[in-house]
Amino acid sequence: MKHYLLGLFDDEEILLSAVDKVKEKGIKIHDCVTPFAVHGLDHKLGLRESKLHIGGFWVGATAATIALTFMSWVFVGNWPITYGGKPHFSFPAFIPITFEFTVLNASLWMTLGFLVLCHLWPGRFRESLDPRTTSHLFGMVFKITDKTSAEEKSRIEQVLKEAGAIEVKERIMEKHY
Amino acid sequence: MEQTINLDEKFVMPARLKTWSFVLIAVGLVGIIASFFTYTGEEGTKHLWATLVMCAVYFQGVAMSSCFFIAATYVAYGGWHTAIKRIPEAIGMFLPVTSLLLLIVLALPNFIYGYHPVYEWTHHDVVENDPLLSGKTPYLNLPFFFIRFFFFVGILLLLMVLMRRNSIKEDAQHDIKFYKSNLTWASLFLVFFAVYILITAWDWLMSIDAHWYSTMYGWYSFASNWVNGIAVITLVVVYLKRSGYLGWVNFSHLHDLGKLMFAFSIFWTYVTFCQFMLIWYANIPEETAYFRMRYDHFMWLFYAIFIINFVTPFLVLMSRDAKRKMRVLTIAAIIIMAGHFTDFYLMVYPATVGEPQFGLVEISTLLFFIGLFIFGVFTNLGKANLVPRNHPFLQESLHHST
Repeated sequence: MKHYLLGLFDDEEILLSAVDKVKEKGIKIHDCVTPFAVHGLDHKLGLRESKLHIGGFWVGATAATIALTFMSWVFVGNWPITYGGKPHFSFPAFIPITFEFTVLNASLWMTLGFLVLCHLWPGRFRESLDPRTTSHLFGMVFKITDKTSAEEKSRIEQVLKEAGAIEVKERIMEKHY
Repeated sequence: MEQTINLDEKFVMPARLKTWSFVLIAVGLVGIIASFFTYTGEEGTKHLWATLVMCAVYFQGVAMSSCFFIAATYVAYGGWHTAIKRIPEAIGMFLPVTSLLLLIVLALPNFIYGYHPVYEWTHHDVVENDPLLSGKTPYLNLPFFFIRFFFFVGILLLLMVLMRRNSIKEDAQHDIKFYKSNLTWASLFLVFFAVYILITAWDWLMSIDAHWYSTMYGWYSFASNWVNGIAVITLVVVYLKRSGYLGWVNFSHLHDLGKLMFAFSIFWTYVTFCQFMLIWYANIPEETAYFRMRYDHFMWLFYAIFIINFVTPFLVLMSRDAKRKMRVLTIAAIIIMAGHFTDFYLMVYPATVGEPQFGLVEISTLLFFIGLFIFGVFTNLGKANLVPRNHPFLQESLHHST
């Protein structure tokens, strides 16, 4: 069982300023759920930078190596054919294919990596904290555990209301949202 | 990097910078005059004028790229660059000087020798006995050459001056009409620039190898000019920021400049390789002659430019953090500038000098142009506010974040 407290805002600017206000009071924000990527929110929440692009670089580098090695092996070692009087190891001719293979692999593996990192593989279904956060509301999520006292909960509610939340609600879910 | 923001800030050229620029100009000028006495004979004069043409074309490219930067951002309704807009403007207003110098190095030899040592097609006796060159005379003849020069350079110069004048008037008067009028001039600028960049690439650079032609050449030299122009803009921005100016320029502006350098380094590689590969693949003797010459006598430089202009910026500027560090940007910009100087060297030298040489004339011409560039650009910067404070996109630019 997962227990969450959710503050809902109707404008991303109010959400951004609310993040500062809540953090000032020393309350730990678990997450924010927004219908679109809010500019600067990740920075304010102090999220670490995504490692996806580093993965992309190494996939690209590997793909480039594979393409060059494979073509060199085929056209020099395994099945040499002379095309238009060119040498068997015609490096310039390999470049376009290497480029395409690199881009294709980097982009496809990064897309797949993104889906895996977001737990969004096919067949996976996740209940939303509040369906309205997928269309027009911006939610700020707090985790509630057995240790969280009723006073603490009402304090968070108070702070959220002051920061401009239009609604504060609790959700108990079977699984992680 | 906490700096106070003062939108009325003006640049005052430090006395030391002024002195240094004068020293560079003086040393360069003395060196060039000395070269006239040391580089004699047919080979020597060819070498001397080739260097002068190369440097003039290189700096003309820097100035023209800055004008193009201004025009392109206007037409694209760009906002992010407003905080640094005065820097490309100042470099762009250096255009009259480079154009004049270029006109001198292109025209003067014709009066002294009766032909231009760098351009084979200006030698009457050679052209008469050469069916290929005489076939090209309807295009490659001196009157038409200078008509093209005056027409395109003149129009672009005029449009740049108009854009600059509107931009300065805007500082005094809060009015949208200056922006709208600049939008018109910028659109016109781009139309003429598109033809200018192709025609001048053929005229000033490709016609050095008059027997040879390539349809990719215009793109190739444009890419070289443009990425080099962005590197120079970045370098000036970083210099000003380091000197305590431009308090409103944040890491996002630097990041965007870094992105442009990164992207157009790859664009340069793309068009350069494209030109090379088509010629290599087709293997037609009159086309491969161009690369044969470079491969035989300039092999190391020929490979080096791919390393300097592609591999280095690609790896150095790839990560987000690198594009936000002024030190990394400075190094990358200097590498790109040196790399594209080498690129221009490879466009001009094989057909004129024949062997890689770097001596008195190259160094002194370069020093002369650098000195002149520093003096001209920083004087232009001091003539106006460092930020166009009534520009409609100023607020957007001040809050720019990527």
